[in-house]
Order: sequence, then C-alpha cells, then structure tokens
Amino acid sequence: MTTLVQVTDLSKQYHSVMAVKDISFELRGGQVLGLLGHNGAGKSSLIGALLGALSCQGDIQVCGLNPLNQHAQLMQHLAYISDVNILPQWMTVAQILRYSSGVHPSFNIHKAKQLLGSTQIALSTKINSLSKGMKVQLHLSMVMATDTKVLILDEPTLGLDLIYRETFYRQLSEWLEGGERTLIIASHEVSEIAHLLTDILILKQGESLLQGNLDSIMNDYFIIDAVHQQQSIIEQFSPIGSQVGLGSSKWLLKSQYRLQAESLGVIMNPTLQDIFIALQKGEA
Amino acid sequence: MHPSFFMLEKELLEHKIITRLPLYLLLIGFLMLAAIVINMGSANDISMQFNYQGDMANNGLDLTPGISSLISFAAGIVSLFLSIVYLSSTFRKERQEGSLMFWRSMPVSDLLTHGVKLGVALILIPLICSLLLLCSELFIWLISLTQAQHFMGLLTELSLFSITSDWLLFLAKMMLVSLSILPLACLLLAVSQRLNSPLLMVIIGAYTLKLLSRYVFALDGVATFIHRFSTLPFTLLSSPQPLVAFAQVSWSYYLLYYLLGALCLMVSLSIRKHGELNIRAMFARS
Repeated sequence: MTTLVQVTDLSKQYHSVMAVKDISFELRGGQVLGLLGHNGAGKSSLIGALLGALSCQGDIQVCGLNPLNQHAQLMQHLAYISDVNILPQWMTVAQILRYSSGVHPSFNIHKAKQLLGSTQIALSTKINSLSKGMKVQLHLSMVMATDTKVLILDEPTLGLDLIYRETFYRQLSEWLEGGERTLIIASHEVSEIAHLLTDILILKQGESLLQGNLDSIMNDYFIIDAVHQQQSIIEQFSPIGSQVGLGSSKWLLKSQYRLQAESLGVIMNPTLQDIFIALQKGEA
Repeated sequence: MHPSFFMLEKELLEHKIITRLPLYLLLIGFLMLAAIVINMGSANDISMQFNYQGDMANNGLDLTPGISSLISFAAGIVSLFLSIVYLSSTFRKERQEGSLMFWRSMPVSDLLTHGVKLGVALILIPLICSLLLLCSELFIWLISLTQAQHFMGLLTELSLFSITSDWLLFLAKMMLVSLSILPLACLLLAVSQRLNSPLLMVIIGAYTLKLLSRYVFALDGVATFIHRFSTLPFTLLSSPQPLVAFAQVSWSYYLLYYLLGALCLMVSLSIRKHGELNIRAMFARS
C-alpha cells in the first residue's frame, strides 16, 4: 500500500495562539483516521492545512503533492465534506453536476446521476431547497462519482437523523472498499465513527494526546470496576480517568497494571469513547 | 471542452444581473419604441428637443451621429456598471455564502479562477452589452424600414453597414475601457476577498488619498494620478476618438498604474491561496 497522506511536524499559529503543534502522521490506502477532539482542539486547522486552505509550518504531502503549492493537481484526488454545507445554494443539482463534470477530469456525471437516482433528490431541485441530509447525500454522491483517493470529513453527520446517518456510513464503507483509498473523519461523535476507524489522533489544544493504530491503543488500556474501598490501591496504578457509580467506580488503567489489578474488581474492555473522555478530562 | 467554459457558464448563472439587466433594458427600449410607433401613427409628428447649459464645445458628448451615439454611450455605462458590480461581489459572495471551500475543492488553479473572473468582467460583459447596442440599432433600423419615411431625423444614417461599424467601434472602445480598468479590477478582486463593502472602501480610500496628498502632503501628482484613472473610463466612453483620449495619459502614469495592478493581482492570488495575505510567500518561488 502506498502512502497517501504524510504529515510531518505540522504547526499552525494564529498570532499568540498555537492552533496545531508538531503533529505528524502517515496514512496508507485502506486506513481510516479518526481525528478526535473538542472544539478548539485544532481539528479544523489541521483539515485546513491538508486541504491547502491554510499555510502552516512543517511538511504535508497528500498523494505525493503539496496541498498549498500543487493545490489544483491535488484536488483531482482529494475531496472534503463538512458539517457546514459548502455546496453553492443558488445552483440546481443538475447545474452542479454539469459544472463538476466540466472542471473535474475524473468526475463521472453518469455515475453521479445513477447514485442520485436511488435517492429522493431531483436534478431540477435547487440545493437551497434540499434538507440537510439530502445536501450531505448529494455531496457524498458527487465524491463517490469521482476517483478520489483521499476523503476528509469534518463532522459530516452533525444534525442528520438516524436514517441519513446509517445510509451515509454505509455508502462511505462502499466507497472505501472501492480502491486504494484513505479517509480522515473529524467528529465529536466518537461512538458513531469508532467502527469505521483503523487509526486515531486525539487532539487537545493543538497537541496530540494520543495517536496510533486503534487496535493496539485499545489493547493498551482496560477498565476495572471496583468498590470504592479499593480506590487507594487503584490510585497507585495512575488511573487515566474514573467514573463514580453506585457502590463502585470504574477506572481506566494502562494494560501494564492488568495482572496486578485483576483481583481488585471486574475487568472490562474500554470503548474508544471511554479512552477519549478520560484523556480529555485528565490531561488539562 | 476546456474547464474555463464551464467556469464562465457558472459565473453567468451565479451573477444573473450580467445577462438580465441588458435584456431588461433592451425590452424597455423595444417597448418604448414600439409605443411611439403605435401611438404616434406618423413618425413625422414627433419632435425632439435637447436642452443643454454650458459650453457645447467642451462637453465631450458628440451627438452628431444621433441616437446611435446615445445608445453606444448608454451601453458602455451599463457595461462599466456591471463590470464593477461583478468584480466587487464575485469573491465576496462565495465567501459570505460559505461556498468558497467547495470552489476551492475543484481542481482549478487560482490563476485560472482569476483569469476567468477578469475575463467575465472585462471581455464577456462588454460583449453582452455590445449585443444590446446591436439589437437596439437593428430594431430601430427595422422600424425605419417599415415606415414610409425614415423614423425621426436622427436615424437617417442607419444602415446595415453603419450598424456593423457602430458595433465594431463599440467593441474596440470597450476593449480600451477594459484596459483602463484592468488594475482597478485586480484591486477589487483583492479587496473583496477580505472586506464586505469593497467598492465603497476603494472609493473612500481613493478620495482620502486624493485629499490627503493634495491638502496635507502637497503632492499634486498623486491626486492627479487618481483623478486621471478614475475619470479615464468615462472619458473613453464619451470621447468620439477614444484612442486619442487613451494616448493622452502619460506613459509613466500607465507604467505606475499597471505595476500597481500587477501588485494587486499578486495580493489577490496570495489571499486566495493562503486564506490570508502572506507577503513572504507572495514573492517566494513555489
């Protein structure tokens, strides 16, 4: 698998605020990176840099191209869907498809029309009059009709109902299986995207809190559910986070303490959301 | 087909005023003329009177060729108005409505985007307005043909040859007007990427600079420079010999004017590329 995205020591500063600090990662075909973090964590700046919309320090290569200096060539292989609808509202669906087919060499207008045929989106409809779910569906259909190698999603399902979300993620999985492609998803909805991810990058105030392969990260942690009386012993294992319950508490611990903690309570596997919340709360 | 064709088409779809205003004016003109023909019965009943105060020799308006000259001047003003309105709104609109990221997600270079937008403002709009002139003169010519006597004394010169030559002369004049506003066009493209009222800011900025240079710094050259280029398009439109009017401005002024225009284009490209003005990157070789 070839490297599709390579980010090395990326930093972005707005006046005195460091939006992104020394971020590095690499993505190959088939990998799905979850970009997690609260508002202001630096996700949008990182995405802006990957899209070539922001000038930053460090080096970015997407499909071997520099997003800033080789923007037009890169956009043949890179697509982006955001929570804020970026489609021009004044256009009709037919007009946007015609425009895309005219300027995008790898856009297949017949495929886009075929994909839209299975939805309730009519070609003569103005984008302005489509619901939010339909707009996302239209944008995704356009991406799927393009031979895109890298897709960046920024809170794509925010405000969508459950039916649209299910359809969206199903179509996304189909797109991902269609070739050597990589996907970057920025989201607050950790549990919703967890099943898609192969890798994660958790950001806080512009810095990387945790990053790497999701499976190995999940193996690095465990949860122990123990009575409150065990608290003093468990605190010796430097818990990453804790959640107080009725009569017992849950602690998130590193796997190195698993053998020592086994006798203290019930051991459970954490979810990505557990790790995300614990890290966000813990390291202020 | 080249992507620029689809980009031009998109600009026309987005800024409908470019096609609708000339069409609307044409329809109004047709209706007015049709009403005159129908209501007056005989064209000989119509008398026209022009009142003018001041020195006729220096007014710059040549009315001797009659109504063709007036239509040409009006079409030129409409073209200039549309170009300025388009230039000050095209980048601002996509920024304000939030579609900027969509247009930037297309494999189109910033240079081509600027080229297309300048092409629309300086070539396509004058071309559309030239059709306004062409259609109007053709319509009047047709009316004069269908009347037993020529329609009004002002139209005696109209023939297919004069209509064609009027149209070609108008196109040539408009190309000079476009050349005269090219640096201003680049300035408006740059300013509209950052400000919400680019035209107002450019006008206020120009007048402030003019007043400051004349009355505070006693630099008459700057005030003259601003005055020359702010009135040049109108001078070209109203002059019977636009080429002479164009050549009357000093070459050193043109040099400075086009250098400033080139700088504005670089600034506009830089803002488009970096999302902000990046002076270091503007002069760096990518």
